[in-house]
Amino acid sequence: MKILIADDEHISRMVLERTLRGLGYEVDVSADGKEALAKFELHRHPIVIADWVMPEMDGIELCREIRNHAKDSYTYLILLTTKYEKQERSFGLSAGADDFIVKPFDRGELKARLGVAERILNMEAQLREANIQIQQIRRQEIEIGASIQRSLLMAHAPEGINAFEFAAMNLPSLQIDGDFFDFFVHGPDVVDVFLGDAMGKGVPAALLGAGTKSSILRSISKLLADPNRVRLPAPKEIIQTAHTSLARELMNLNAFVTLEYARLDRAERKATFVDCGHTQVLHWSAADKVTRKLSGTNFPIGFIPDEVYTEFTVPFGTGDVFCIYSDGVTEARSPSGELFGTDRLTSLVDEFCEERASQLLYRLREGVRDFTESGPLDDDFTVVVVKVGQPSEPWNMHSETFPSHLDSLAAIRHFVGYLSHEAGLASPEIDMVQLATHEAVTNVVQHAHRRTEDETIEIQVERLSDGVSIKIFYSGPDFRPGPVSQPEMTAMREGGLGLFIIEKSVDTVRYFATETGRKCIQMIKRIR
Amino acid sequence: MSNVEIKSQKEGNAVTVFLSGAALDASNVQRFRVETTSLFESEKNFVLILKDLKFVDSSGIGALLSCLRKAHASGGDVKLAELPQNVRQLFELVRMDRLFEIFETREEALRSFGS
Repeated sequence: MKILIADDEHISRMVLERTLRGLGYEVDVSADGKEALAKFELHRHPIVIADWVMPEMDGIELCREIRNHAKDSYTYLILLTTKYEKQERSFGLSAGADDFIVKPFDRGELKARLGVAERILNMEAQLREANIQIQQIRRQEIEIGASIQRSLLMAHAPEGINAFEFAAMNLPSLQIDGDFFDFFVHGPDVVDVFLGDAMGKGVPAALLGAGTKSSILRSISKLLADPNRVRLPAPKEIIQTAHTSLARELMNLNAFVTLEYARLDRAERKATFVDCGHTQVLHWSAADKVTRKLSGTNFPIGFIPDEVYTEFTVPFGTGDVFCIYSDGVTEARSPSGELFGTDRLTSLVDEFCEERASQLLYRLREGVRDFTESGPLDDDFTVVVVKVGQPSEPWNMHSETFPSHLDSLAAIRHFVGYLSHEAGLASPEIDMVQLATHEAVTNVVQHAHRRTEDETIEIQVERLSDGVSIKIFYSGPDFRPGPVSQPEMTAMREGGLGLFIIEKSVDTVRYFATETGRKCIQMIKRIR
Repeated sequence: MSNVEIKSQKEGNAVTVFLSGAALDASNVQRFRVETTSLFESEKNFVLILKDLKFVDSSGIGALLSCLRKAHASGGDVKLAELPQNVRQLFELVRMDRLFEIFETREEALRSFGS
């Protein structure tokens, strides 16, 4: 082992040099601090013994210089001193000295202290080696995580389905997040999409994500394999089954997964969602030109052991867009620390909803990139965009039953709005159909069903060659209006306005009773 | 059922009232009437901004008419501005444009009050 001596006193330097050589060390000598530093920079001696008091640069300053320069390996610094005061020693320690030897030194003590120095240097070297290994392992871990992500967590968007156009993207962050998604094609009109985010980072999160994804896929297969099953398992059933096999283990790991599970049914024009604490889904509706944020009420998977999952349904039609994403998108930050947020994402969807799914996805990515000014992503950036195309078979008639309640009005307007849009009606005509249906249903709820509860109203929408026919079926007393005239508004009477609106909004209105005794209001709106 | 959000601010000698919500219709009109009564009785001139109101039905029109009635009773007026396409269409359909003065922008409506 090589030792560097710095001492301005010739005799003392020679004695020290000779003693050290006698102990089997290689020795370099220098007569002051400056010379010592120059030699040290050349050879990086593991041990330096310096006299406290020297011209040019004293021992204290030399200690500081060496500590500042040599960061990649450890140097053991011993100060030679005649001073014995504790005060002075602490001054030496804070300059970086490891030990002190009082002149004149004793050979045995010097030997023992150098033994300590060697032990510490050895430990230091081992630590350094271990650190390098840990860093290597970390790098490997990131590579493993990235490869889990590429192979297990992501999927290819299904192609060649006319009913939907899919586009998906995952940009991993530096540390690997646990984002995952997949698709399950049930038929030409029905596709399930799910996208999740496992808590944490690195390989544990990636494994958690992969485990959750495979559990969901297994649950779908298991439920589909049931020979007594006549219809597709409901999304909430799938998540409940996955939860049963996952929740306990997730809770033992103190881990959880947020997830959005969606079933898109083109024939029924309905999207059913199970939202497990995930980010809001964005839904651009082509019929009423607005983007809505959709969210449910379930906890993330692994939060509580006995969660009962609920689903919610939204209607959709041709040209609609769904955007499902991880929080890495909305939580991307600008250089000043501002979050990208759901509203910015919504504006982008509003702006580019007419483009193809892949193009829209690209716009979203560009939007976030501009916002972060190409800064690194803290979280995975994962997005699935679904654009609704044409159903595999054209429909002629759809019907749906609603509770007879004013709270159903919004859903009913949606229902007839979407189908009118699909039947080829344009914007002002769709508004008229929605308005007329709304007024007619309001009359049924407020008059025919005024005294009864738990009644229902069935709405049937039929596609005509030149428009739509809306039929509103209900039970209860008949109320046929007499001749409808323009209500006298200047007198400020408010009654009769609803019937007048119906008459004016559609081309034909008919009130009749069916063979089974149900009442029906039929309205026809033709395309101009 | 979602309610209509009502925000108002005094601008010159009129009060601008911003209405927003999914609908002003049979499902929430009672509540709307209750919430607007004191406002329309305490001031004279109003500009209603409807741009964030997605849908209005005959009950909604009825409620707006009663606002107008209260304003007229105190010698004031209610003017409408920034109507969404479907709401404007409804107002024209039932000839409400003969009762309410309708403006493209809030500024124009305020100017008509001399604000």
